[in-house]
Amino acid sequence: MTGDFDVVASNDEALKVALLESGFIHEGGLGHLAGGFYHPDFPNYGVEQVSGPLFDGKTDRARLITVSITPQASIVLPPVEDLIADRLAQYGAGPASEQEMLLQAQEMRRLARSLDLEYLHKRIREEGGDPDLLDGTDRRQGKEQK
Amino acid sequence: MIVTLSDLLSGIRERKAELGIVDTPERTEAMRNKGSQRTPSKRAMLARIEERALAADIAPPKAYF
Repeated sequence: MTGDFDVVASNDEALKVALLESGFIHEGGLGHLAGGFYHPDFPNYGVEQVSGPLFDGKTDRARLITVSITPQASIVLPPVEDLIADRLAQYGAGPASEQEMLLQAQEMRRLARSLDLEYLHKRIREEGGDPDLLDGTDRRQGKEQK
Repeated sequence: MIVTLSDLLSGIRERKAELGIVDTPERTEAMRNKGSQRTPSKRAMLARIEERALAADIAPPKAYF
């Protein structure tokens, strides 16, 4: 993992206010390099506020996973199907020699105790990925990958 | 679905054990984002994280940017 957390909020301004009130510092930067927050107690981590709805609004919100950290605090994570679809799309958009996104997608598929395959394939197609990659068929490499 | 963080993490650990997955530095590195598709803002953010961590004498999380 890296030290950055991407956060999506339905109200960007409310998230910004909440972070600042919690002691986060808004980072500098100019133009397209601007943005981001960090907490002084954890300088080796950062938070990036991602504009717009989660995965362009394509995520089925009923599948979101609420992770309770403490009785007063929780985070909400996307369903694993969306994460797999995102990684496959990133793999497809990058050089074929770079395998890490494909490996991440395959690892998540293995780790998931259950997957909604219909939803998974729908999301992979929506993100522009190739569902067959999960079965080891990589057309870009022109070979079976096991 | 609602799950506690401890249950989520223990579930992942149990699943890895069932599958015989052992995290090694080599496996982790193979799956690490090499950064070729990062946006300029993400590259800048990761650079700032590294700068802050080093200034605080903390090892920054490994990242390519």
